[in-house]
Amino acid sequence: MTDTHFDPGGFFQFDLAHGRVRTRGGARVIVLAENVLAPLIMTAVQNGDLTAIRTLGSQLGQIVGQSLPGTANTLSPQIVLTHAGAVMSLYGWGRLKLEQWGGALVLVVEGLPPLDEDNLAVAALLGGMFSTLCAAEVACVPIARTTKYIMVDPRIAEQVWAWSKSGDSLATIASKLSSPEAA
Amino acid sequence: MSGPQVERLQALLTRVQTNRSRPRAPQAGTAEPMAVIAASPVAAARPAAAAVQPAAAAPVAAAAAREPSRGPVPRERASIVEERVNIPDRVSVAQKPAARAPSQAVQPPARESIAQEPAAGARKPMRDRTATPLEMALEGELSRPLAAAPAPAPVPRPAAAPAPRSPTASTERLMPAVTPQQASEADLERPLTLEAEPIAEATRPIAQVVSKHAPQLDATFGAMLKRSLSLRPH
Repeated sequence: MTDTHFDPGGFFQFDLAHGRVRTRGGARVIVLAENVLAPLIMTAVQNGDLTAIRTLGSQLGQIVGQSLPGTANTLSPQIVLTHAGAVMSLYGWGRLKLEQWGGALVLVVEGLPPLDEDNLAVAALLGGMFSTLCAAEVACVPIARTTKYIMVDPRIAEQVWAWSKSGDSLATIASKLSSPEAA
Repeated sequence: MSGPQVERLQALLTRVQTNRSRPRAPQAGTAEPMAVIAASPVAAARPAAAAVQPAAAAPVAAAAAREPSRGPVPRERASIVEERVNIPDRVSVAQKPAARAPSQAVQPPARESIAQEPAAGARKPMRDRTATPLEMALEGELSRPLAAAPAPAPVPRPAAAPAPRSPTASTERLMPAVTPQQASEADLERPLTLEAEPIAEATRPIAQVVSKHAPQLDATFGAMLKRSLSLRPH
């Protein structure tokens, strides 16, 4: 029987003698206040370079993948979401949920600290995490004025983002997308 | 025509006439096998397939009898047949086929008649006294399939539906006569119940989803993600 639960015990190791904090995998992390992180992210968004945030998401994806009992693509959505949400919570990036709108997968992140206005930083974080986790290029496009992110192919991310910026709701955007099977 | 040729023709004609007077004595080289077969009443009464059995002319006759539906033998083929049976003056016969037509019995039309007659002749096989034991035996073999052919399977006739019996005959004898009042009381005690027959087992699903856009249940996260990534603007 596969273990569907994520064990957070001992995930962080605080080495007070040396002033270091490491994760279970050995990576060193730094605890930041959200009001410090927010300006850094705003600067990255203004520069149009969210590579650092996506890299962080990729590291989270590796941690999730190591905790899973198998390959994420072959497991049930419930197991994958449980482990991914647990890692997100440990790092303080809010509570993760998953929705399905027709054929579109939508991630919901609740409890985020106020970062950038358009939530592009979290979108980059989620994109990096699930791209690494599922070994596929995934773009998570934020839906304006919501806490939802639709998972699409990066080649259509700009189009979806334009719809979102123009005020289209998630239902409208989902209806504008169709899979080749339904055509 | 020179004198020797006339003599040879006369000699040939004499031999042919002699052969014709002896219908059951075919001799290789003296007459065309098909002519011999045509002259035999046994052969005429049998299907073409049976004509391949006579011993002397068997090979050629068999080849000819295998083609019963063909018409007259072409000229070239007739000459070939005559060569095989070693007609003495085959050069003259082969070179002048038209000249021998009136006097000789070896004519392709005779074969045509054989080819066309078997069906009619086979309907009423006759035993000829001149038939050899082999032919008689073969005649029996040939007639056996017809006589011993398995009779067609008897068509199962539906059982005759029993004639509706008069209610007055047996039912009255079995059931005691009841008055209308007694009948109504009996109905109240035990009302008539009609039960539907059990529904036959369905050969197809009773309900089928015909919608093209039926909700899809993906078993794995990878399948869900793959479907989401395949979305395109339309």
